[in-house]
Amino acid sequence: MAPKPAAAQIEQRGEDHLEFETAVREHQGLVYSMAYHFLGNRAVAEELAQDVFLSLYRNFQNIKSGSHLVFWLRKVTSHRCLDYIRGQKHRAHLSLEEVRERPLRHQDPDPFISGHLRRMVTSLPEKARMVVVLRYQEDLTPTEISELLEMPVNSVKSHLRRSLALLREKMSSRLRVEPYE
Amino acid sequence: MNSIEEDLKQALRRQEPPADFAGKVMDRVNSGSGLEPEKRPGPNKVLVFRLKPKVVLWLATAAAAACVLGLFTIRSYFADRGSVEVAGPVSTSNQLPRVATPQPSDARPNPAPSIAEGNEIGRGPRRIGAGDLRPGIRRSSHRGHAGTSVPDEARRAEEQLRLALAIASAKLGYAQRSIQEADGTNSVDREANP
Repeated sequence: MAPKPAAAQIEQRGEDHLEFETAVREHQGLVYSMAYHFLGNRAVAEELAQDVFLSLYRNFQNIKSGSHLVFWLRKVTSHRCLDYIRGQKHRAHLSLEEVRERPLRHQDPDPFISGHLRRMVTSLPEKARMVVVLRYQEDLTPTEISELLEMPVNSVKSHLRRSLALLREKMSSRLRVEPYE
Repeated sequence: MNSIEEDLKQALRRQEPPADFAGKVMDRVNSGSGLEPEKRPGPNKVLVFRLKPKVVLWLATAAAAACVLGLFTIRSYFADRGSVEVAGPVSTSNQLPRVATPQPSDARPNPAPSIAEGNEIGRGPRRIGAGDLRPGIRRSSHRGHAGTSVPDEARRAEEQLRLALAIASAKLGYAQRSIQEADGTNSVDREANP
């Protein structure tokens, strides 16, 4: 006996629901990490990641494949992060040059390079920061990043080059060691 | 890949969200909170009005027409004002003032009309206020000084101008005569010494 149309809809909705939940569990790390590495704040990153998944739920019918889903999530997350930063008008802007440099030896409570690097990444200019996050978290090529952020490949490359130079310089002066390779 | 790139990869490796993250998302989905269509900033009615191409075109045309009309009105107003101020005394006396300057002889007709005649009689009195005057005179005819009426000032300016033109005319005639005399001398010399 064929199910009634309403029941079919409910059944279909249930399947979509399950599929969506699977997608959330599978890709939550991607979305949350991008937001966290970009924003540097766990609570805000979690809130933003939830919004991204709610947006995915609204557009779930339009997702065609797994790769399309990943592309969609990366794109929406990056744009939402950039929008969030731009929306914070009153936020005090701290450029990388303004990051206070402290000697590492005795006072610094966080001696781990990863922690320093993460903090320095969050002080990069917004576009450069997103490029760095996509390059080193998601391991995307400059071409893929340019498609995702809708910017020329050369801009992506120059963002990467300048960001690496800045980070290298800051790390060298911060750690007071040999020039950073 | 160099050291900083390795360190960046290490620093930016994926991190899992809090354990109940997926549950929170599903709760929001089930409760329907945040599922309403995303509100995009609605267009401002005034902005829409301003951005309609036809309206913009009409407004721009009207503004341009108003500017042209305004400029034309202002210009004609000042031109009329200048002619009215000067027209009175000029219309009553068309004769140039007598100036004690050497005049060309009666037997020899003056081939070139004097500047005063060319400017004053040929064009009429209206030109005095329009653009042939010196800046100082033009300004005084428009604004006037404290305590003097504008027509008086214009009349004085006109007299000064006539005097200046008469002097210039006389000097021109004198120079012309001198040249002609010199030419005559030269012709005699040429005849004597071919």
